[in-house]
Amino acid sequence: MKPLLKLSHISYSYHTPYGEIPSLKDVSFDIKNDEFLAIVGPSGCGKSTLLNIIAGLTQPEKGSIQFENPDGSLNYPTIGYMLQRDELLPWRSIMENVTLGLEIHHTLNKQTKKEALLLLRKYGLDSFKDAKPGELSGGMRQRAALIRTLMLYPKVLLLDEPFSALDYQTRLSVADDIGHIIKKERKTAVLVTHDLSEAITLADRIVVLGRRPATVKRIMEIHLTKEEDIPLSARNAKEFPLYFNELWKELNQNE
Amino acid sequence: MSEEQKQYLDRILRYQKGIRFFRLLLLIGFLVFWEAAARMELINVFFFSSPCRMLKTFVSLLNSGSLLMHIGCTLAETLISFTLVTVLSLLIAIWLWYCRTASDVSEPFWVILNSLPKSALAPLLIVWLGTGMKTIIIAGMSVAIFGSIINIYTGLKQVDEDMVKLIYTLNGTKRDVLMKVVLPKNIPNVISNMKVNIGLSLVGVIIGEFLAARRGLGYLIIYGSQVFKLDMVLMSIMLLSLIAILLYGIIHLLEKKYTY
Repeated sequence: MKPLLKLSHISYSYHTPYGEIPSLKDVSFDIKNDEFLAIVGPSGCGKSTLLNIIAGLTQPEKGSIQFENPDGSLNYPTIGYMLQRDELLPWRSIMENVTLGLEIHHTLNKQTKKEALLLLRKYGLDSFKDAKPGELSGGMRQRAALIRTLMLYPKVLLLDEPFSALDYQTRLSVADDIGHIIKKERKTAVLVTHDLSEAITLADRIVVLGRRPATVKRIMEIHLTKEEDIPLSARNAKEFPLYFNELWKELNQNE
Repeated sequence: MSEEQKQYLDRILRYQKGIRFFRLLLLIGFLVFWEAAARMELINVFFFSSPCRMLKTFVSLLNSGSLLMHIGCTLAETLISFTLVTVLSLLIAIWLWYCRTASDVSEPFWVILNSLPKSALAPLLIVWLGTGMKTIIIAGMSVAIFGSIINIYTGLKQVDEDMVKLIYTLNGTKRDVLMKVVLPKNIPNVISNMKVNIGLSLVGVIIGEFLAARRGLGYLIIYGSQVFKLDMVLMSIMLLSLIAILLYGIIHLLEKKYTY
């Protein structure tokens, strides 16, 4: 697979009146087309900053991102971004929340509305389309947030610990759910997490970052023998504990 | 519905009825006590008037046709200054939100203007603008506007960072942040700010009328006190209370409708 995005030598520091806090140092890796990439690392190591840079919300101080679209297009690939919390706007109905991006892009019309409805139906939310977000469970809200992101047809999906605000039980099933949807919609995805088992079950490759300032310590390919192609059964794969131990060691070195 | 639920709802209903009853009782009791004290000559009606005397004054002023004009005048001035305050403070607050430099530069001045006793400005306004309706309206605005700007601006600023980030992740602009998140989120805040403004506008209008008017309830109060017609003064104050609660009530209804 060819790289869709190529990050080379990215560095970034936060500047405060009390000094400079280096956050990323010389980070380089590729994101391949259609792969699910996970980025793990200790909390506060600059994982979210890295996502902001890939999304174009933050400019790197040093380094650059090259891209090569499989269809030869010269524009930066469209990015969809899922935040830690769903951030559904409480005064809008689910339908209005899902179409927020279309509204901002001025592409909200009968056709796109129909597409939104189709996605809501496909992922079991159509009976809630007129409900306010407060009436939905945590998992359903996260699914609505994902549909909101998908409505803009992103080439790359960035997920910033999208399950961390959920309780453990919901978290497992939502991660399962979202992972499934992303595979089904054939998106390139970058997941930031500090939950190692989440990374192993969902990802094709894992980038391990070290403590601040973050550098790439290792890139690990994941191949699990799964009975069914769902993340939950991935936890039962025989390779799972091996990967887990290796990642654990990698993260706890030099401490 | 279960028996227990019915009892529960009944309890709530009964409590609310009780509250309403005691409120009314308090008001009527006060008026009756006042009237009785006046009739038994426990208080001097020349200074303290009585509900019946106020009512008589009310009827006679109403018949002479001047009372409605005074009420209408105060009401119109209050509503105009309230509307201007709401619109202007919203626009200024939005401008401050858009332009951080403008807000940082002007911040101490808003604080000074807000803590300044606005009645101190009234004499100046009379010299500058004369004694017409314009002066009264500006006096009304001056009391409310600075606090209103500060309150609305603070509300606009306090929007959750992540909601703002959401708009940017959807490729939105600062304008989208304003229209999709910051303003809708602040509707309840703006309405509760309007509740404060309507009261303050009335205060400012009455101050203005004290000093520079030939019409309005503020003028009636000053005129009445100068010619020792305290019936007229107290009646005007009663009317002011009624106007205040009426205006507040209207905005309260609006608030109920627009809070999610």
